[in-house]
Amino acid sequence: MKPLLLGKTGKVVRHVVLVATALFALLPFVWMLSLSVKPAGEIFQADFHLLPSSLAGLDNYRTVFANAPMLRFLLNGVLVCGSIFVLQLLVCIPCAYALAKLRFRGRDTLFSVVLIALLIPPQVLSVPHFILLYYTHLLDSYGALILPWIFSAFGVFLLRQFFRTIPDELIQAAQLDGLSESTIIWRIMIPMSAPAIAAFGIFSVVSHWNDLFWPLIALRHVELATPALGILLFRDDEFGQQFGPLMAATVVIVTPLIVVFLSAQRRFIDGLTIHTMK
Amino acid sequence: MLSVSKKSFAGKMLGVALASLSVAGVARAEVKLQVAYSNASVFKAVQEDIAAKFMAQQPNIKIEFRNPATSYEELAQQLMRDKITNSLPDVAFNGINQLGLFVDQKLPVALDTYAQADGGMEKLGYQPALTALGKKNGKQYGVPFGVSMPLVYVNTDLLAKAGQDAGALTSWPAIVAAGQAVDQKIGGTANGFYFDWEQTGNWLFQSLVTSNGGKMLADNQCDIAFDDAHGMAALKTLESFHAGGMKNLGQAAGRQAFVAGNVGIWVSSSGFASTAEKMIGDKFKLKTLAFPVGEQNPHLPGGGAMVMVLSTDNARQKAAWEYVKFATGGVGQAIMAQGTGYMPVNEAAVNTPELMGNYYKQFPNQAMALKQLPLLTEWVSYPGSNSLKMIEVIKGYTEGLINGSKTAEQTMPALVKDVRALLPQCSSGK
Repeated sequence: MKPLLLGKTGKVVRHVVLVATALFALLPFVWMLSLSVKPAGEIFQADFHLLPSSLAGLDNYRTVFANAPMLRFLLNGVLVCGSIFVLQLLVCIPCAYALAKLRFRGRDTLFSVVLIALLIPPQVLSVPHFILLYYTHLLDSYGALILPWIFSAFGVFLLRQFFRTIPDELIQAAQLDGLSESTIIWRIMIPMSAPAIAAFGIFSVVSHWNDLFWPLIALRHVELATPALGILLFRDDEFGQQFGPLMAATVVIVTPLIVVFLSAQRRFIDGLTIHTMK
Repeated sequence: MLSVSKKSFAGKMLGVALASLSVAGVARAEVKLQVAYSNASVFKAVQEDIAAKFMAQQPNIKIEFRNPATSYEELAQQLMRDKITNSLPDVAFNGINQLGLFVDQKLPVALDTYAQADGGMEKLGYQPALTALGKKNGKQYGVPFGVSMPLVYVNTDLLAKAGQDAGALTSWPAIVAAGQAVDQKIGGTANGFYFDWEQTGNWLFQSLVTSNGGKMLADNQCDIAFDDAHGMAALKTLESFHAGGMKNLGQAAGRQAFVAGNVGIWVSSSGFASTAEKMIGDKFKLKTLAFPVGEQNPHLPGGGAMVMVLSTDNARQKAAWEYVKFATGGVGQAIMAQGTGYMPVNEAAVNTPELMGNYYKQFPNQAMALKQLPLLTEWVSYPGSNSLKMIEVIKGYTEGLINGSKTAEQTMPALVKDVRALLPQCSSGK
């Protein structure tokens, strides 16, 4: 299929469409930033202002850090999401390698099971997880936040698909050189799969950073709370939210994710361009 | 290395040292209480303030807060899970309407012996109507922590623009008519009237039933009692809201629209009065009015929070009772009332000038609810294990009336049938 050749006007139109769609998607974030620096009296107004009329709204950020241990929540988020991702890699990479490169009876059935596991929403498993953690006395601990997620069907699927694109000859050459299976995985496959691992990392970290459902069930101690639980301290549908601090808390929580995503994205693209083997 | 005799001597010394440490530990007897509450954005500052002042007074008792739940109903679910996993907190705050549910699940401890030892609930300063709210099956299971009643909030500026007088809004037809006038004469983004029907636990639906003399449950707690003329009057009032042009804005949007100045009359909880005044600022002049009630035997369900002691350990129960007394006493209630806008449950708070001071003189809109206290009755929590589900069912039917998809005559038989199906079977003799 030939690439679409656009004349000058075509290019301008394309940019206009793209910019308009991007602005539309960014609008909630712009509004969130705008509300986070407004004082309570200015939030509900008949006329529309993007910028606040005074700097009193910066107080919202002070309220957020004073009324809730946000730094603790962010640290917990980093610890929990980091541990989940590392453990997921440790579990999913060997599984994906086995499903992609090794030959054994039942391999394709096992892969179908992984595909079926992809269909199950995580909330369905929350009751069995809760019961298991209760019996192992791990409820209300970091273990409760990390352990249910270390097997990721999505991770296995994504990595297996990526491993399949790595030519078998490479692996056979490595075996001829005398490398064991685990050395092949850790020293050859992983560096070549950097883009897939980065993509999986983005999905994993973002979904577990924002996860509200499971920490709400599994935790009782404030010291263990994750960032999403931190926002809840400012949200109240019954009695009325404090929108300024709520938006400020959301900005505080979203910022690390955006920073990580932007830096990982560069690696992601670098990984695609450096890769000359294919 | 050490010879055998020296080793055994060292072992004995270590043993003595450890024993003395443990004795010292017992002698200090510091009790750690775990406290659970919900609605952090309203209560967090207040709870921490009360706990700090309590710990200053009683250095042997340490208060630890659990991660606050988002709402009363969610905290109720959390407590039921905690009962299964044997990790209940020592003290829990929840909505007054959930008391029946907790007593059925055998969670709270009866506090009568502790109260008697201190001279009785009245001597401790609790108003009798409020104390009655915490009683179930004749025993005191919950102590009220803060009370709110239904209240009518009026944007007097908006009403004046439509030529309506806020002082004349003493009945539902008058309110609906004023709302219609605002819609017609001003229109645009203005809404005349909004009734916050989504309030937790069917609170405002119960208000409509009891305000004209009806009851929600029969005396034997096993059957509903709103399938009579009083209940029908409540359903017809809800129907008249839709007929009068009330739009179903939704709870959060309705509140936001009111504080932004876009709603003429808003009916909701008095607990919001203090936050409302802050959020409204200078935008318009707010006035609060009494919830319209009928002539015969009107009552209004008291909303708000109560506190329960859940601990079964004797030493912790005693410590928990001390904390409950403090939080619901003069000092605790003054902190609570000024921080949240709920009404204090203890007369000591209201009558002692240093505590509440001239607070109600300064904020007359918040004093309005105090005037309705004589009408206080129970905010009913439905009996049996389907209690939370019944709330949802009634909420669904209320929504049908509010958005006009059903009439009152159609709603009553269906509502009664569905609620009866969820009630527990009653055995003779409890």
